[in-house]
Formats: sequence, C-alpha cells, structure tokens
Amino acid sequence: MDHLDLVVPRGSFFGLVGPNGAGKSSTLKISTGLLRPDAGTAYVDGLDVWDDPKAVKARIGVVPEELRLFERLTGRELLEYVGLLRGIPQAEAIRRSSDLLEILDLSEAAGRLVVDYSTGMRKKIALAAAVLHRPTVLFLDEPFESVDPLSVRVLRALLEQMVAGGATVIFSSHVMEVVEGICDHVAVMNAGRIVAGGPIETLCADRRLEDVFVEAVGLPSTTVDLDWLQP
Amino acid sequence: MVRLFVRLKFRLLRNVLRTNGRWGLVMFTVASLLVGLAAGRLVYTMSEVWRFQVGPLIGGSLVLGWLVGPLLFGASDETIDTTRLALFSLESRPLAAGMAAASIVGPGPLAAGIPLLVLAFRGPTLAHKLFGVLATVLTLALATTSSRLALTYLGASLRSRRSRDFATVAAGLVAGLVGATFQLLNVFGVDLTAEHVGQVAEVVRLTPLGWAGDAVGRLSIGEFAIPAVELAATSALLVVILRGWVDVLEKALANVADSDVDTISGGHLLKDSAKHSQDSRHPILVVLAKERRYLSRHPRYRVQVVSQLIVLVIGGAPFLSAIIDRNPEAVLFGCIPGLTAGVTGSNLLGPDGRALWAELLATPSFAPLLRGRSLLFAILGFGASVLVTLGTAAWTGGWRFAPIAISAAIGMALTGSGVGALTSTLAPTPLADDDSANPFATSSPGTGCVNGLITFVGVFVGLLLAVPILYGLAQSRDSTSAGIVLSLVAPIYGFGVWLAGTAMGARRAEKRVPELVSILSHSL
Repeated sequence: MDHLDLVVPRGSFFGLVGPNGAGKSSTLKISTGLLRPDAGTAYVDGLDVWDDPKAVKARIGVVPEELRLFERLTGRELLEYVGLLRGIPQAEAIRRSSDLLEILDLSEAAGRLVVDYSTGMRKKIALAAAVLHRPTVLFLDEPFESVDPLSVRVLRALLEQMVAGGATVIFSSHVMEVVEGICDHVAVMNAGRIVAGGPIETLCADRRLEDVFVEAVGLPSTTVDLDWLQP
Repeated sequence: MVRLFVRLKFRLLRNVLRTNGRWGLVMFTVASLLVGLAAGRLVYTMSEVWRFQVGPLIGGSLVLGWLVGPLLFGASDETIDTTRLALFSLESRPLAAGMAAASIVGPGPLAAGIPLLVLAFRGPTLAHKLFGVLATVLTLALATTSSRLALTYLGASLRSRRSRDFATVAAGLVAGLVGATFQLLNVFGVDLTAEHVGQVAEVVRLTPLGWAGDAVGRLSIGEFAIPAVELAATSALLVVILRGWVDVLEKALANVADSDVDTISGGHLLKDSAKHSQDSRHPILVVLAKERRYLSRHPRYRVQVVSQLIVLVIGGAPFLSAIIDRNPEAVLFGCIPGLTAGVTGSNLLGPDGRALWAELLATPSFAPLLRGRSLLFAILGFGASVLVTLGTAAWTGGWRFAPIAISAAIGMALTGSGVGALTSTLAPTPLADDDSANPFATSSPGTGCVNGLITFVGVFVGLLLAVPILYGLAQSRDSTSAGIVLSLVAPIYGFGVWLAGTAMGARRAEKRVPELVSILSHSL
C-alpha cells in the first residue's frame, strides 16, 4: 500500500478493481483487521478497526480470496457454528442456515464435509457464513471467481438484497463486466494507490469500465514477438 | 538433473529462511547438529570393542529412522512431491538420480552422517579411513533412497482422503506402540545393558540395514575383507532399490489424483434436543461441539488421542510396577494421565489453523476459542484418568483411594490443559492440509522439532504447577483428612490454573491477531 486514501459511501455496492498485485486483497485484509498496516487507519461505520475491533467485527462479514474453512465440518455444521459463535440463538441460526443453503442450491450438499466441496461451492458456503449475522458491511475478495454463471446470478441477487436493505458491499474483482453490471461505485487501484474512482456513471460516462481501467492503469505492451514461438 | 535438484533443494531451504518457518528450520538445524556432534564425540572416545558394536547399530538406525521418521512426522522437503512434477515431461531415471542427490542435502543428513564419519576416521590407515567414508556415504544413500522409495510409493497410493487419514492414524498407532513397548520393557525390568546392545548389534549386522554401518565399524578396528564384501552387497542392494524407485516414480507421475466424498447423516452442530432454543449458546460450548466433531473426523486429532491413550494407559512405567505389585496406593497415580493429556494439547490452533480467521471475525474475544479447545483435552485427560483409576482400583483393591484420585484428576487435567492452552499461543504450527495431494510433503521443515520443544517446556511447567496436587497425593496415602482436603481443593486449584493459562494465552493472542492469521495461513 502506498498512501492509500479510500472512502466507501454507506449503502453502496462498491467495486475495487486493479491488476494483479495492485493491493486489492491487502486493502480488504487491513480493513477487516486481518493484516496490520505499517501506518495509517481504517474505519468501518465510523469505528477504528484497530482501536475497537470487537465492535467492528460485529458489523462486518468477510469472504477472503484464499478460502480456508473448517474442512471437517459439513456445510450445515459450518453455518451453524459461525452463527452460534456470532451469538445468534440456536433456532434462528438453524433457520438462517437452512434458508441460505436452500437459496444457494447447497441443500443436497449440506451433509457433506467442506473438504469435499468444489471451489464454487466453497465460495457459496463462505458467502453464506459471511452474511448469516446480517452484517452492515460486507467485504468480498474475488467472490465470483470459479463460480458458474447461474450461481453468479444467485449471489448477485443475494448481495443486491443486502444493499437494498441498507448494507454496504465492497468487493474486489478482475471481471469488469460484473463490476460494471452491479456496482454503483468503483475504485481503480494500481501499485497500492487509488488511481481513479467515484460513482460509476460519473467515472465511465459513455465509456466501458474496461476502457477507464486501461486508461488509469496504463496499457501494457501487447506486441508479442518471440521467435521461438513461431512455427 | 542432479545439479538442478540439488540447487532446488538449496533454494527451498533458503526460501524457508525468509518465511515464518525460519525458526523451525533453525531450531531443527541446531538441535540435529548438536545431537550429531554429541554422538560423534561419544563414538570418538569408544574402545575397539564398542566401535565394533555401534557401527551396525548407527547404520541400521539411520536407515530405519529415515524410513519411518518421514511417515510419522511428514517429510521435510517438496522435492519428493511427485504431484508437483507430474505435468513435466520427465524421464524417471534421471529424475530419481536428481531426487536422490537432493535427499542428501540439508542439515538432517549432515548431522546424521557425523557419528559414522567420526567412526570412519578412527581407521588405522588411510585406506581404512577412505573406505570408511565411502561406507558412510553408502549408508546415507541407502537410508535416503529406501526412504524415497517408501514415500513415493505411499504418496502415490494414498491419493484419497480416506486412505491418507487411515495412514496417519496407523502411523500414530505405531508411534504409540513403540513408546509403550519401551515403557513395558522398563516395567518388566528389561534394562538395556551392554550385553543386550551387543546382541542387538549381532542381529542388525546380519541384515541389509546394518551392512554398511558394520563395514564402517569393522574398518575402524582395522578389518578389511568382510567390510569389502559388505560394501559390495550394499552397492548391489542400492542399485535394486534405485531400480524399484524408478518403477514406482513412473507410476506415481502417471497417477496424481483420486477422491472420495463422505456424507454425514443427520446433522446439526449441537444436539437436536436443543434445536428450538431461543437463547444464545455459550461460545465455549459451541467451540467444544466443533472440536468434538474434529476429534471424530480429523486424523491428526485421532492420532493424538490414540497415541496418548496407548502411552498413558499402558505406559506410566514407574506407576505400573506399583500396580503390578497390587499396591492399593497405586490408585492415587491414576490422576497423572489427566495432566499429561492436557499438556500435550500444546498446538490447539494448529489442526484447523488456516480457518482461524473465520472464528476470529465471529467472536469478540479469543478466550472462548482457546477455552473450548483446551476443554476437550481436559475432558479426554480426565476420561483417561478415570479409566486408569477404576482399572487400578479393581486390580489392587484400593477403592478407598479412587474418589481422591478422580477429584485430583479434575485438577490435573485442568492444570495440564491450562498450560497447553498457553503454549499453544506461543508458537502455533499449522498442520499439513487436508487436501494436500502428498501427505508426506511439506515446505515447513523443523515443524516437528519446534512442536516437540514447546511440548517439552509445557510438560516441565505443567509438572511444576502440579506439585501442590502431587504433594496432597503423597499426604493422602496415610491421612484421610488430607485426602478429603485434596478432593475439594484440587479441582478448584486446577480450575484456577486453567482460567489463568487460557486468559494469558488469549490476551497474548488478541494482541497479535494478524500475525497469528499470517503464521497459521502459511502455505504448507
């Protein structure tokens, strides 16, 4: 990170885009208390992430990019475990878990160990665990990667419902079409800095987000001239 | 290929020094070199008679240790992992040569070779010394290649999660049985005398495991003919093993994946009877419920429990002799397993450490995460103690001591678990992934060494903290009132230690949450 200054409006559907190594995942980790910054501060809902971690943790849900979950629990047990740890009454935790398993098309796999889940299923169960306690701010790192198009629709609908209910969703992605389609605010990161950002209508005007991204980050050379690759 | 693999091994070791795993490697290097040098010093001062005896023993134990060690504790480098090489178009013969060469590079082989090298240099002439060095190299080559053969074969065979789980538990069982055997030897008065060592050496020198080592021993006292035959035989054996390894490698490179799926019937985390509860559940109970699931499903947990039960219930040598003598006071020792079981839970965050982030974000405090985990070990320790106590009481007739021992066991189990919880936060070590394609490959050398040292310190501290209970036990042998006081005080004392230990551990962990997540998320 390099003097990063980022403000996410409350209730927005916020997309964080950038090339590989731009610092998107680090930004999300610092914002959720999973990575300690050398300097600087991060606030969630007006609360300092490092001064008041308990209050912040109660408000946020997180889906990190590296999805390490409790591999030897079943999908249903995992959701109930996270719900009960969050202090949700048992009956309510069971009800919410069942609802999410149903919506995310995981009911049939609910009794299977998480270690046996596919990457897409892991994304879905991780998202379910992150929204179970109805967070006001949701951090998602590459949530749509490795997820089939039908599941992407379901995930989108779930996230849109959360935003409609007043929650803020912040997610990083490489897929410009998805970000352009669902986000109302976007920030473009490069080399640890925000190089462009704002409401998507203002930022893009009549252009595609990909063009804005390329303009902000700079187009790498696309000329490939490797003689040993020639037939 | 040899040069490539040797460079790869050096690069991997260098890279480990740049990561969080550096201390594990440093401690392993220092510890193994110290042991190697101490053994070398011992060998240097030995008489001719002893040099003749120890040659095959050192050589045989090197080969056997190399063969069994990685299976029990996980191999220490990634160059054995054929799943990482499967996509390359590699010939198995040069590949085997490269992997064999890489095996001999590293602090482990260096330290292991020291005693034999010292023995080789005790040879009377230069020729004896040179042949001794050759025999040392052959011993190391035999140890590493037979180990590679076994690891490659098992790594290729155990592709499914179920078979890996089974292998892990079986390895733990073997380790536990070996430990228990030594305990039982002590109990039945079978001391390892020089005569016994000589008898074992006579057997080992006749087996292929001991040929090369025996050659070093004989060369050191001036023999030549028999060592020459032994070296020729070892060389031939080495060629056979290398050929076998090449065949296994070819199969391993062609077959890298398999899977199986378990469906757990039923299902909620907590019992269904509480399904309609409208109350929040205490986080310690929630964590305990999850740990109980892990106990029945995670092989590392099962290994720990199986090994503990074998060593604790069958072992406990000094106490067993009292039990065998049908001394009723032996019942009082039934509380000891509680202490040791608790203390050995010294890596509570390791088995599912890579998912710790999810728990940390879900709970306001670290304490319930630590307490739920350590409570499981306290319960296991207490259960083992009750078994031992009741069994001993039935055998010796010392039923009057049973209530005291059981009360003391609560205190012991909680004391041990409190210490284990604290040591768990000092140097948490992630265990190999469930989904690792090769269960014997890890990029974290020295992990076992660090864990062993922490556990050792934990046992020492646990014993110190258990002194008041042990003192009470000693008094209870003759005094009923002392027994009553101990029964009342021991559980309270243990609970206090447990609370303090878990609180100190939690406070320490809360201050370094990002660092803990980083250490435990370290890619294995």
